[in-house]
Amino acid sequence: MLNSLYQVLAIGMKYWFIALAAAILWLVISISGKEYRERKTVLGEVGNYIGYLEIVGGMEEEEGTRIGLARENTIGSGHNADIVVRDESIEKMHAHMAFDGNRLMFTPLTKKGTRINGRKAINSYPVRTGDIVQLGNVVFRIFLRPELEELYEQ
Amino acid sequence: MNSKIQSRSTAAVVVLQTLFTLSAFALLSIRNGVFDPWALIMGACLSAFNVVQYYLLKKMFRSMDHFVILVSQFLWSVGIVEIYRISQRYAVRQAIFLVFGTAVMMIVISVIKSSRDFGKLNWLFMGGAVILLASTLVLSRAIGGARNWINIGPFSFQPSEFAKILFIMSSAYFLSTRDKLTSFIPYIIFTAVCVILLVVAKELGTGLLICATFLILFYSATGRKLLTILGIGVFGAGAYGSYRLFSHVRTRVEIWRDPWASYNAEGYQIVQGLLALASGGLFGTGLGKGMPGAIPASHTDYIFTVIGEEFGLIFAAILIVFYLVFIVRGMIIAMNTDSIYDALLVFGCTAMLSVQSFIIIGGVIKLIPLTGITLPFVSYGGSSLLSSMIQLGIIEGISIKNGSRDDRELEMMGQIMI
Repeated sequence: MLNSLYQVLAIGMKYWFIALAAAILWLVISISGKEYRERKTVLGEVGNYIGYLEIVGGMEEEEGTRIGLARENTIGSGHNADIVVRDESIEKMHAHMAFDGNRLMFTPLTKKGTRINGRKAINSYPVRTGDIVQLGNVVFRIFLRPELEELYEQ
Repeated sequence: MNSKIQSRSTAAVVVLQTLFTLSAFALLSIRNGVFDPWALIMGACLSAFNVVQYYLLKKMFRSMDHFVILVSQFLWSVGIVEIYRISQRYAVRQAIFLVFGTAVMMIVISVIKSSRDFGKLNWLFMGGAVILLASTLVLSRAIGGARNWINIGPFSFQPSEFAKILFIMSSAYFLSTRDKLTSFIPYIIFTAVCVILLVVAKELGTGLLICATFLILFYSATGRKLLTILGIGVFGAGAYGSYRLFSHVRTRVEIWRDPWASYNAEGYQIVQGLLALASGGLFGTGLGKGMPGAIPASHTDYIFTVIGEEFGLIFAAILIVFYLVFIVRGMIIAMNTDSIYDALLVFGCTAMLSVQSFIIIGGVIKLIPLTGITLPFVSYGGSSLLSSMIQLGIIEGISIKNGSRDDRELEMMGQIMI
């Protein structure tokens, strides 16, 4: 009785084992593929940034928001700017920030309403981690990757 | 956007694996027409062990690579099912080695994830590898024509299994820290000594494995095409030389070319293996209905043919793809590392496990001359399982190292609006 049950089951279950193994394999491959792509996207995007701007004042709702900095960015309230900050006190194209190979240069594009560490800024000026820049009423703190920061010392 | 990397749920894989182990052991429990409760107990223990091991490792080590460990779990589960079907006693011993191996693996992970390249210790590793290999010549007893076992009290172990890990570690060290050709000389002499000792001990499989791993690692570390081709040439000359010099090498090649000629003697194992694979066909005979008793060493070197016979060729092919997934994941981890040493260490372990499975699967299906070596994770054998799990631990350790670096990066740049 048990033996004939076994004979039937053994033949039937060969397909079950193949199906299970194939299903496990498919799951492992598809999940690992998805995770790989996701990891690459997140790390790739983060890896492209040389640092970020953190909003620390002037916009209560957005306080603490970090905005990734590429090698070259324009900042303004107009939609043409790379970094768009919607605030009435900011010009459409307010400032330009670019990494020149050694330093991150901050260049105001308007005559008024720009301050670096509390002082009025008109010309290009190198900025680094911890510096505070103010565009209109909005205050940002700059963070630069430590390995880029080291270039300032040389 | 939250830039923490979510690890995707792998629960479905764990559930399916548990289902596989439980159903296979349930089938084995009624195999002889009498109900065998031990099979069910074994199945329950193995599934519980796999689940606990997986979630424990996941909890202990964040950013562990899930897929490498899941693939290994599937491989050793299939192995233990088939070993249990051949001999219950061996299956219980294999399970004990699995528990022990997990403990060793955790230690290896902890050491590797916070270590650098071990510096001068590598000279000690090299010496250790040579002593391990030489000791077999002095202290060993022969199993299956090869002198590769040492008895210590009730235990016997295979020193070459551990020598090959020392080989990978010192290879990674030398290839990552030296760049002048002359500075490779001690390392090349070391490799040659290892291979010669293995060939003299009649352990051709491991010798071949070390040669192949050496060439792969040398090429991937230095990228010198000409020297690698020269290395392949030296390897070919060495292979031909040992073919002329040693009768046991000659026999292996002869039975590979025509196993039927010596069916009653040396060719018996190959022919029986091929017959087993053929009688299984695409879908297999069904678990427990094959004849592994007819194949010598069916629970160790020849386990692939038993799986092919009872589960079928499709299943066996799927098993090979599992090894491929393992290799691809290993390469991804290797490419993701910071230092060349880490990359070579992971790639060495991956390459060695993949070449090892190629040598034995290729051997039993008569693609290349058969050299006795175990199928990683699947074959019965404490030393073999332990050494595979140490290599798994090295791969996982580096993966965790990568993961914590990525986490630091995300921590620093975290919560960026993209």
